[in-house]
Amino acid sequence: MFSSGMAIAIIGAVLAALVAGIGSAKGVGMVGEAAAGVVAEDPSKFSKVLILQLLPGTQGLYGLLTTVLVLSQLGVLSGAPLNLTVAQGWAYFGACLPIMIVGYFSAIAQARAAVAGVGIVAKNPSQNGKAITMAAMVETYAILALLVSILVVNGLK
Amino acid sequence: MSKLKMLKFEAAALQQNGKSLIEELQRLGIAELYAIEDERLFRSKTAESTQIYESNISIVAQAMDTLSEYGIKCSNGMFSGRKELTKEQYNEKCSKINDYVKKAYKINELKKSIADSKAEIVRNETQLGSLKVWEKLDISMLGEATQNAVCFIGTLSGEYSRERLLSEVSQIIPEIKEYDVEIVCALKEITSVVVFCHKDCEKEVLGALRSLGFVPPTEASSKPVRQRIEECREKIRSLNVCVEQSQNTLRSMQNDVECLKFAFDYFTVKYEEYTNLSKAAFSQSSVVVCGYVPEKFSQKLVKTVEKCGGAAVLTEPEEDEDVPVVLSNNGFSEPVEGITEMYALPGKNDVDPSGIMAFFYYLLFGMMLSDAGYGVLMTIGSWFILKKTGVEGNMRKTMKMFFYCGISTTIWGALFGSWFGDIVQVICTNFLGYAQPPNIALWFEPIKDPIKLLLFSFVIGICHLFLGLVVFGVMQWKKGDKVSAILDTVPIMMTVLGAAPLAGSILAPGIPRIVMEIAKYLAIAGVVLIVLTNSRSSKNILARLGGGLYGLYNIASGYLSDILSYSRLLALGLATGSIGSVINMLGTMIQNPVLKAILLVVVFIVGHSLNMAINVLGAYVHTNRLQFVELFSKFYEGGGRAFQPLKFNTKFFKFKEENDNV
Repeated sequence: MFSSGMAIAIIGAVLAALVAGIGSAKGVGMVGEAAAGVVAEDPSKFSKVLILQLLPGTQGLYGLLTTVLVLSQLGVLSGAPLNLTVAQGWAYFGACLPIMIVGYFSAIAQARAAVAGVGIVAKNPSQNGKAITMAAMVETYAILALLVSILVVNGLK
Repeated sequence: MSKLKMLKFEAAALQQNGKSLIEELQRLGIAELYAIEDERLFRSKTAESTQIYESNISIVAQAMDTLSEYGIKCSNGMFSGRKELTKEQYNEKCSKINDYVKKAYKINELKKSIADSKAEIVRNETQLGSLKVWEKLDISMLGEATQNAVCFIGTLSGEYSRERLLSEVSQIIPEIKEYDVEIVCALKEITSVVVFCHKDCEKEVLGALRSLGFVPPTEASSKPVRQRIEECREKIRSLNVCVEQSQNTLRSMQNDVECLKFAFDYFTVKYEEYTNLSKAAFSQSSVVVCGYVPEKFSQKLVKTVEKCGGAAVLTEPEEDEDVPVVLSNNGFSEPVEGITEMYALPGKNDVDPSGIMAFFYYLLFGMMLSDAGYGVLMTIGSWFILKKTGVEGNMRKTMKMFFYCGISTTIWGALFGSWFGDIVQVICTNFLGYAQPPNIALWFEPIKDPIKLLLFSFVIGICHLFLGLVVFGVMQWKKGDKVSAILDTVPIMMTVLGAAPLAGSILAPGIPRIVMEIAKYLAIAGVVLIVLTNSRSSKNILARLGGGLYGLYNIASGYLSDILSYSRLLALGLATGSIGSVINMLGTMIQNPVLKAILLVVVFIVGHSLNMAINVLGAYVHTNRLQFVELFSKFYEGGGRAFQPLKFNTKFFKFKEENDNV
């Protein structure tokens, strides 16, 4: 029923959510471990460390976003899949690569920065804004990768 | 719209009025005192009083902690403000302050007694455990001897039957027969035994038992074991009743929370009063206090000092003084003061950036969240909190900020046609029988033309960056460096304005030729100006050119990455809308219209709550980043110290006569 080009494109789309999602899951988990230690000492810091914990979660969402964009453009969601050539299939696969790979690594790098930020909150809770900003700097590259993925997918229309 | 101008003051009064002067200043809450260092004057020693207040604060805090362990709420809610007290109420409570402290002591004692009782219970339970194996013993545990026989009572580790023990003992002392053993209780880990033997072979039998690991009981007593067990149980029972009673007493102390709260505030105020009293300096008959006061409150301060029979002199602070900073902005910019404080308060040469960034803060936040549904919820939610709760301080500012951000989000969401993702379109096609989803965007749908929004984001970004440059230029101009004000800003603007259409034409062809021509010459002129003027301080013409080229490289790469950074406006905006649409899609996956409607409602509520939470956080974080990294880097240094006036720094109560000045 599907052309082989379509199969390649779908694998790419699924990997975008899958790989970036693993990165985010790892990242959110890492920060969660550090945050739990702080909350054990002082439960009132929960809301502050929770924000830090959420930060590496966005890469997974960007992966999901790319997946949905590709799938909807391919007609998979509406039940009327396009007939893609193998080359077109690889093009979609390539479009998914930036957010797939950068998403994975930036989520983990951001989680490291956020874990260090949890240390800031533990010692000096009033400075949590700075901790958030530092962790958010890493996210720039995930956003750029998402942007490239979106632009390429859009260009393939 | 800026930092408040600060004045320095020196006030003097008669010595006996020193304390009331500090009290009045505290009530006024507009002056920050600093310690006076002068060997001709002496400072009052308040260490003793402050220590007492400090320990009272910690006693009260401990009592409040205890009460909250027993489910009595002792902290203010996130959005609730302090309770107001009239002067009469305040005085009445002040007169009872000793009772309040006693209450705190009582709570702490109850807590201690509970802990002690619990420890005692554990001790008794251990004892009970060790007595358990002796429950069947019907003689005294001391093992009293008769005329010819002795009796050993004790335990062996491991499980022994009478036969096993007898055989093991006889293996060690085969020649002796005059003994007998009785097993009292045999458990897997421990066996309690009674051994009788003739006095003549006492040593040998005991030696044999010892070599098997025989241990006499640690807590032997002449009382019968059953009685002791009963006593232990009785003790545990009564201790449990004690604990239960104390816990019930604690649980019923709901009404004492107010007293504790007042005591906490009272001692905090007193503590600060005395800490500040130690900053004042005394001579034989007079007292001097020095500090900073915002200019607009300075006359109030002078009047207050005069009321205490003293006099105050106001002076301009010196150039190199560490003057504290307090921000003052209008209602529109005030909410983002918290964002400025998060970065750093303005330093000596800085302007307050709150007013500069406020408009862009709301704008950028709205573009990133860009969902009218979420915007409406934010606006209504924050408005409700502001009107219906007494939220104060920074939380109030944050709520106001979210109010404005919510309005901006609603506007952008309406422009982009995003209401809870594409819920309107989904309902139209699924339930109302539309063949095609209607286009409700007032401007355009970003998902259909992302390039358009990307270019628009860059335009917004360029405006934001130019705002920073203009502020820098104005600051340089005011400082008198008019050359820098022009040469460090205009060439950059020319280059960016020229390069932008050239780069934009790659993504969106169709820019008129004439514009491209003008842009080309503008960019070239800008580049030449930067190369020629960027390192104008160096005399050598070659070094100047080299420095200029280096400067050009820095500016070009810096501005390129700055502008590209605004692509997050597109990415985050798309993320909100697309994930919202995915949620709506998940809610409409069943064919049956009734089930579909039910599923949609459930998925809608859960999914959109999550999506909104994550994206509000994302928009907040990335708006901050754009302000801090892209805008502030153009003109702002920071490094100011926050103004911390002597005031009623209370947590729970507000005293009516206190001023809301600062």
